[in-house]
Amino acid sequence: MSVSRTGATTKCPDQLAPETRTTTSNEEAFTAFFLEHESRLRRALVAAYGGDRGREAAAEALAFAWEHWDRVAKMDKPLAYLFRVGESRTRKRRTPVIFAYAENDAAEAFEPGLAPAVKALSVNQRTAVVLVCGFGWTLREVAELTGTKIPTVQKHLDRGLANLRHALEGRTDEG
Amino acid sequence: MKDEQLNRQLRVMVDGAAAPLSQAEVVLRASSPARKSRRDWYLTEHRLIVVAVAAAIVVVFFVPLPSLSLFNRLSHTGISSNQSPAATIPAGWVPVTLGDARISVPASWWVRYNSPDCPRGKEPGEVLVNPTPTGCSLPPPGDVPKNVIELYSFYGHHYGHLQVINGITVYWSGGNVYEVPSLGTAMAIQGPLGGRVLHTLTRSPEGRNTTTTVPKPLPVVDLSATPAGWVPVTFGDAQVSVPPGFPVAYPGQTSFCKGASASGPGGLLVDIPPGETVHCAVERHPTMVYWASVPLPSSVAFEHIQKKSILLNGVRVHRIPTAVTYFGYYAPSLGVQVIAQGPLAKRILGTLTRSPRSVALASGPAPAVPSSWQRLRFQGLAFAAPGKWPVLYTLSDYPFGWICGAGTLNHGPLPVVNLSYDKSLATMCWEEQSQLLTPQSPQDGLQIDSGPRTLSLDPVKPSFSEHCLSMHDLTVCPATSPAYSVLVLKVTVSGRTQPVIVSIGLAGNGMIARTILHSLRAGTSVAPRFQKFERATTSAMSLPGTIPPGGVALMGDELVDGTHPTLLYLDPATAVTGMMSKAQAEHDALRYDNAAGLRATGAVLATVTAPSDVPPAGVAPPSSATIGTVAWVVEVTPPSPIAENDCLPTGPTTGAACTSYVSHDYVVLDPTTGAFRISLS
Repeated sequence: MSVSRTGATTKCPDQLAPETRTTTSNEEAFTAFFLEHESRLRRALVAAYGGDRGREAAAEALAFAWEHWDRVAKMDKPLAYLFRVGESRTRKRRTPVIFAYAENDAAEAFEPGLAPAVKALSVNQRTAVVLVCGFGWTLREVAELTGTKIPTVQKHLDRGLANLRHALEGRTDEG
Repeated sequence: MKDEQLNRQLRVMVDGAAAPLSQAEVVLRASSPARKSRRDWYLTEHRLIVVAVAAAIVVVFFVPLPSLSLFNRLSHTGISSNQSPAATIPAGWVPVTLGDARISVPASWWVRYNSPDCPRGKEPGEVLVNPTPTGCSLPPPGDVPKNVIELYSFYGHHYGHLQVINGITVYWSGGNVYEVPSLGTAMAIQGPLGGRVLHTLTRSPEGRNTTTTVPKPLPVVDLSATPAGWVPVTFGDAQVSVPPGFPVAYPGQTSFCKGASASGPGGLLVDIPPGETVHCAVERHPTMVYWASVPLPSSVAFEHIQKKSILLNGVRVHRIPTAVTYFGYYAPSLGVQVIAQGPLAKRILGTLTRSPRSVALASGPAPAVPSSWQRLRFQGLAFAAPGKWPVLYTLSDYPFGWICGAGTLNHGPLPVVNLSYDKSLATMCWEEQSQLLTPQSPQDGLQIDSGPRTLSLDPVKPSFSEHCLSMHDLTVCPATSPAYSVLVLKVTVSGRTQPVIVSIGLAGNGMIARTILHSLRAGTSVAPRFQKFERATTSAMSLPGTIPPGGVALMGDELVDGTHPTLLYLDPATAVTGMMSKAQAEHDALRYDNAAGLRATGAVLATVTAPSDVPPAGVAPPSSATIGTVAWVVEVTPPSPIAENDCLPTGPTTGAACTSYVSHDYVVLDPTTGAFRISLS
């Protein structure tokens, strides 16, 4: 079941007003877009800004896409645009970067120092490390998302991994 | 941790940190009113930010400190020009020049040349021009006066951040130092006005290799030198203060040295020859003070003045070695020596300071005439005086610059502008009044005497300095004697043969007198302006050559508010009545005459001629008789018989009622004879 702009259940075509009828195709296109990009956008923003702000930013960005679908649909790189929208729409909130493990994953032997180590990375380093290493993004995809060049992403990735390993190894040495 | 394990844990961590979004959640969020209002605020905020940034760009680009603005930096090449735009110099600031550079500072600041570069703590500010380096850099704020400017030659190459001030390239080399290589100058500034002084920087109009042409700071009368209740007594450029009632004698008035008054509290002898300091029997009096004019050190009676000087009330003085019972100072900058003996000697000599006369006559910038002052013209002179001073026109010849009786210039408790035609001899200084004088506080006031007999009639024969001031087409020669609490000036107006004697009261710090002096101008001779007086049966716009029967009324607009006849001329044989209300006449009469005991019953007459030159009916007055003064004439009826000497010192009378007419300048006109007399003063 699709949902209209007002959140009501979609009605039959013959019961719709002409202008409402014209939006049906848009809704379908947005649904396809949502299914394709929601997870990527959410993961990118969560990687950058943590769970709370990242999810909030992703929701805001997708809501913006819904509101301005005519414009977003024509973009070459809508994901990068919405990434910026998500950043700007949540910029005023000083939500701390928080990473948490899902409860159903608690049984797995997670490295307890991973979350603090990731949190300690810079935004660019964290984004590059999580998206490239965790989710298999290419350097180009990350570069397009953040609006930077590939060597820059490579540098962030290298330094982020080095910092991450240094933090985790130091923790291991202490333990 | 292996790479695969790290990657998996990163993925799980991120996915576990934020649950997936549903499309419904997104759509509902988009339609949320709270989000819509937040979005509106974002838009508004965004627009505000854009506007603020635009405004900031405009402000930074154009507005603050035009010489420092980005616009100027972009529009100027940084190459200094020989033609520097005119800097905005605040009113009352004076220029200070070093070589090619000129800055302006408040006139009250101290300016020192070629002195050590250590501020002396002078308030409200100091300018050290071409200071001698002694390693004394500007201390941190708080240790020095608020404003300190050092202006020195600079031809080095330590340029820093570039600025353009009044078209001149200035380099801020850090701290408070600004270098101007194009003018071979550098400045160190400190204090709240330092920046404003910096922005008065211009190229000196005299150009390179000129010497500094900065006027010296005005001397200052140390008003605190006079103890409360004491009376300042001035002599030349000096002033001492004495207790109230302490006898003060001027030349020819040494009566307190003999007779009954010899047992008094002592006395101050002013302006006595240096060699005659002990002629008054000092042993008879507790305190004796001798004050002599000593323009040059070589003429000091006591040849061995101490070389070491002290600063007394802002004046550098040398002790005069005298007998044990004497105590004396010599002040070369004031040209006086003061020697005293007795219990009050040191206290009186401790009040020695500059006189207001020295401030009034000091070289320097002319003070601005306050807007509240009145502009006046009289006998070819244009001048200004405080607006609250009443203007009195008189035929009387009052003494000038002479300490006489209860007053100096004034004829009452308040300062006035007394404009005298000097047609008649005033009886101000009686012989008995001048025999023993108590000190009179100097008073403000202004008197201008224009009559041909001014100098010959005055009881004091003044002597004027050969060093005259040339100002505004006038030659102004100050009197060297008398030189007491009145500044007497002989002013020669270009194109006029007869000098005008200007007497200015010297009270306070002398700045009022200085302002009056510097306001003197050569004024064009302005004939009395008349307008038609509609209420008169015969009225004219100008003085007719022949007085018609019944007289003629002329109304000037120079006095009061211009709504009343201020100048009338008529056939003296015919009284004209009803030209103003009785109340108005009385008001004006009392306002200007202050003739206590008299009651105005009508105002009818005035004159444009000297009292003795009133012509008979039908006869035109000679041009020499016209004095052009304005005068109210009021018929008065005394409530009781007036004493003969008050009403009619001379001349005819019309009886016990003594019907007469009184003008504001103490002129009495008997309408039956047309004779004018001086009375009721």
